[in-house]
Amino acid sequence: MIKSLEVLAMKTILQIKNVQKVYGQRSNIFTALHGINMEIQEGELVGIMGPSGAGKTTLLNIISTIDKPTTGTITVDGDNIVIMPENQLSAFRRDKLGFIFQDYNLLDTLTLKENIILPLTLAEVNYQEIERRVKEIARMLTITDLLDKFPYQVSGGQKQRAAAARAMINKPKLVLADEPTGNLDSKSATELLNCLRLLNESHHVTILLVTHDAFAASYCQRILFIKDGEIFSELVKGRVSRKDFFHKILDVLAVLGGDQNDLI
Amino acid sequence: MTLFNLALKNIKRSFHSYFIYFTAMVVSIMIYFTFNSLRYNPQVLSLVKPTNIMFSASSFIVAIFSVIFIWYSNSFFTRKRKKEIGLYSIFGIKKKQIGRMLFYENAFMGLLALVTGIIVASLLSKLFVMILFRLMGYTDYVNFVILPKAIIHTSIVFVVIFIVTSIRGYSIIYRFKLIELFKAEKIHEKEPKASIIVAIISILLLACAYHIALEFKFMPNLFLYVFSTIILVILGSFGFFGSSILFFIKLAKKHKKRYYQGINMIGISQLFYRIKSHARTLAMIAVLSATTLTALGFAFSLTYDLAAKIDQRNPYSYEYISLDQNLTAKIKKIIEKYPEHQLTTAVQIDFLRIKGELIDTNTSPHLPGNQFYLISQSKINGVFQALGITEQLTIEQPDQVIIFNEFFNNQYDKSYRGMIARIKYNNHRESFKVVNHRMEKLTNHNLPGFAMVVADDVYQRLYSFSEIRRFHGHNITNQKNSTALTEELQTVIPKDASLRSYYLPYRNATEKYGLTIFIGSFLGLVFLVATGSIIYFKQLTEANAEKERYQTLRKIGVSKNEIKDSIAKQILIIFALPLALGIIHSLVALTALSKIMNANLIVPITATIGIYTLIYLLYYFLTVNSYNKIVNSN
Repeated sequence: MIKSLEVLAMKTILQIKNVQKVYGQRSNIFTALHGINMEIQEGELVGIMGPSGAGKTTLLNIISTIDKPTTGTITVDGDNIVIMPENQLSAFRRDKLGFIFQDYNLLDTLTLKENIILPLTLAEVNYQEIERRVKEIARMLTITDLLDKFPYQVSGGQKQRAAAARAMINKPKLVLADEPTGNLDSKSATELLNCLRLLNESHHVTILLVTHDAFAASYCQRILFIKDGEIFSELVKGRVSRKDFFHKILDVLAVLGGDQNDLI
Repeated sequence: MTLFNLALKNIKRSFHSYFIYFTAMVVSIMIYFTFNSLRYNPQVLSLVKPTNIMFSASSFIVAIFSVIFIWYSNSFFTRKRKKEIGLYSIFGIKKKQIGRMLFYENAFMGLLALVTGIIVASLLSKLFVMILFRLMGYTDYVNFVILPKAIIHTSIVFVVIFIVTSIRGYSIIYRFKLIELFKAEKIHEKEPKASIIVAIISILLLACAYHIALEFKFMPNLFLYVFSTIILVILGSFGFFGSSILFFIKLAKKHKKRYYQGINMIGISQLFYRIKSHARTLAMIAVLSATTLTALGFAFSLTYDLAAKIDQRNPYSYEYISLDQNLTAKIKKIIEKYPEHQLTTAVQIDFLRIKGELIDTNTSPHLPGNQFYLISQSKINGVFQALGITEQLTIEQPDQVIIFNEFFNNQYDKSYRGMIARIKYNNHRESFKVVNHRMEKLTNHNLPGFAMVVADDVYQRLYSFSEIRRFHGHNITNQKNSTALTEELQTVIPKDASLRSYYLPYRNATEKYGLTIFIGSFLGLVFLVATGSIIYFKQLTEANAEKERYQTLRKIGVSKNEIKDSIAKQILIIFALPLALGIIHSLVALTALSKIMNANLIVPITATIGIYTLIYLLYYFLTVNSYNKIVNSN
């Protein structure tokens, strides 16, 4: 039992090697990322933290194939996405990645259900299978009763859970969550984070969570801190409680020297 | 910085967003000015009566169109700027000042557009006069003139329009709350509801309108007939887009298998929302298209049919009636003097004019008309050959005849077949059976009676008893440009030989209908441009609002091509639905028209619809392209 779990845990979902990102030309050069190296194994819930301007968003954009690195390689589930041509990238994003955005990005002309099943319809999954899967994921995120509502009829927390459902319904290899709690009140944020952890634990969904918020980060198993385009330190939760982990995170942030504003 | 300077700088800095509005104004002014410069042009006035109602009526239509068009682009333009206006207010500029700034801005742009429009249109006016002359068949030299009357007239009309739009700009800050100004582009639309009653009523209204239009016999009063049809069509169209269409889209949504496939869901749901908010625009476009197509189709049918009718009514280039054989020789000599005209046919027909009547054995015994023009079977076949008609007429029995009447109307008239033709000569009476009737016109003259074909020996027998009317028909090449030859022949041929040329009626008709065609096409083009621009503006406004939505889609893995396809499909429906409805409306109207005119108008109608659709398609591709550029660029 333990052995099989270990084998599962050994599979690398995301591998980033020497990724550099340089903006601008000649005299006006700005280096956003200085040779980032990191790995995420299947089933992990990993957080990325750092002050404003540290390069979090740049890194996330590069992993989500929206931007390209200047040098370095990025492998997602065995595919090098840096050299992948544009026409394959759309299909790649659709099939292997899931996205949760700070401002939900739900389409307001679609019901929550329609928003959630969007990735499946794009992948031309048969509609009976679609109905089955939407029921399953809605139950896990406790939004079953809201499925026929439109985004403008539900709260922010409910919207974000629907967005999470959309990100996960096609069983992506990697879910990228960009400040998912950024627009939520603390109660909604806790609900969402509990849902994410549940999905991570029971369904081995691999999640990469980018956040400012130490509270949100405390739900992760491992946190990478970025500062000035480099990985500054790494914190593993191990067996400590979430509360203790939260305090450990705050300690690192204090050393990191971000503004107080960035902490929570 | 004074407010005036701020207003001026606003225009200078964001000229791009002002550009569309500015162009719309310049185009309206140009169109209106062009019309007025034709109306006041001395050369045009020398040909067309100054009181000609067509010019003043059309210039009125164009003025109305300008008001609508400018109003529409003005609201498009203001909507884009609500946020900016809100910002000024937050910065602490007084409402009164903002209002004044917007007033100056509108007024300044209006004046600039007026000057630009009049200058450009003045330069182009010579071209339009030339086109008009060409259509009317004149080749005179066209002078370039500057017409103060047209300038004043145009200026007055547009200054009034601009004062109104400027007041509207001034009042915007008073009409909206600050929060509304900021939210101008982000209003959540609720799921549209379709009323089944409205849907059924609208389809019934359309059915009713079509029925009345096609069965026009029910409506004795022409005004009531036209008026009721138009009202029903307009109401029906608005109801149709407001309601019925939603049902069809809802139906598409119910079909889960198709709906949940690929990008269909996005397209269909977007459309569902849009149609409702676009309902009025779509209905207006349907009505505009229908009006344009009907007007154009009517103008073209009139002239198309006319050209055919002139050919049909004047089978010969020249025709005269004379027993003087020297005259014919003289005429042939004159024609030889003109190398550009070759004599192709010379026909001589001796019609026997004889008294008689046509008797319908079934109903009323006597029909009006008391003369026959008899021609023999062999002669008519000779004439047919000369006129290029390949058919041969045969008369099997000596008591059989064939009647010619070009005014015969299939819709109303009873066939002459089976009637009895009775002639009287020298107190004799003789009856013939009518076995056939034909609709060709045999002479340029309108015969005061029926032409009738009889067997050769009957013709021979009656020859000496009747008055001989000897018709001479000559056909020449290039008859449409035979001014000089026609004028010379008119002086040579004596009055009593009553020359009837092809050229004169042709010339009259071209003058009369050239103007119709010109104004018709001009107005048609104006309406088409208006229609196309309205959809174009509407779609671009929407594209700007939908930008984020498409960016989300790109992030979750929809490819650029899929988005482009989806956009193309959605816009196609937005374009195609009103066009389809407009075409159906116009087809009904033109079918009714061709029934009344007793003419086959398939060619002009198809051509009009074809050209209209083609230009409309250009707008479609332009819109898809611009839309795609806005939402699908990195």
